[in-house]
Amino acid sequence: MKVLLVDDEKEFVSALAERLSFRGVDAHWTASGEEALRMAKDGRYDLAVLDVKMPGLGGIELRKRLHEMQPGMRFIFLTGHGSQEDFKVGSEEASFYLAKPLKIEALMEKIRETLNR
Amino acid sequence: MTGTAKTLAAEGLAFFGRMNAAISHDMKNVLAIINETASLLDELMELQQDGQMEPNPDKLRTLSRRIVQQVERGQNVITNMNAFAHSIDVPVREVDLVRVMNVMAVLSRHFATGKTLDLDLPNEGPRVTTHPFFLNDLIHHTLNFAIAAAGPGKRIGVAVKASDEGGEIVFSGLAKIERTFPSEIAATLAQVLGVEIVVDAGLIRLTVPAKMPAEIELG
Repeated sequence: MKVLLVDDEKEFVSALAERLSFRGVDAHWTASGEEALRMAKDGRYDLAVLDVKMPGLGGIELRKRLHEMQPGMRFIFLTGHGSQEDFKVGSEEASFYLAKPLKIEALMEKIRETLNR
Repeated sequence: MTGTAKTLAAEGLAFFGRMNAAISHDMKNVLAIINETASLLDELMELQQDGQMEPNPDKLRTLSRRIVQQVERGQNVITNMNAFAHSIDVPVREVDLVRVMNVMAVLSRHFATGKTLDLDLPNEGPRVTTHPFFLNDLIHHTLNFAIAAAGPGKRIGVAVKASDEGGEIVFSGLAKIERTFPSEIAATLAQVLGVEIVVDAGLIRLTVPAKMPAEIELG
């Protein structure tokens, strides 16, 4: 499975991508929503893991644009807020949310769940 | 309680809530990086010990240093959070405007997504007698407005200097300002604090008096 990870905290997302790769995930990462759109233009992804709050293009808007480019792409949101607003993103079709800091096993389970939906 | 006091009481709670949410979000990011980096370090060491990966001490060192940096980042947030929390200890007291601005700049980073604050702050600033908590709140409102109005370079200049009246905080680099400033609540805060707000040609200037007016009852 090919996964796109997007989070403006570069140290977080690069480490997460590497740990997912140890678990057999073809993980690609970027710290910018705009760069994520360029990456999606160049390759197909099964799923994207997006930080909700990012400078420039935020997670919610990024999801809309990625979905337009690749309708089959599934989404998981990462959030550091834990507020009711964040829970709402989990109600979007084919989307889940996870709170940071996260457990890699929980993310792997959400990835499997999301792709099997 | 007067109308102004009621307004400020409600605004004070709302401000406290907004800042706590921002601080907790920043700390969650710090903990997320430490968690991910420490876990990666652990997994890399195991893979290298098992012979499944070539030893790479440089990488391990980079990752461990990253953890230390994030601890320092978290410490910085907490130190400034503590300063903010104590701004309510004594309602009216003397403060250094540079120190006030430094604390608010760190704590407001959460709201400045995509923009950069260029701080032009001397080591020591003008000292004024004011209500620190509500001055923080007014600065927060002004900074939020400046962030939203930042020009194409997305950089906001923040300068603090002494003035004949007391001290000045100037936010520059603003593009065409389409919304009006100050808002009603910012205007109330400015009135209570005796702060003069000037919006002009890409900047906002807050002139903080050496001593805030004593006649307004905050309740």
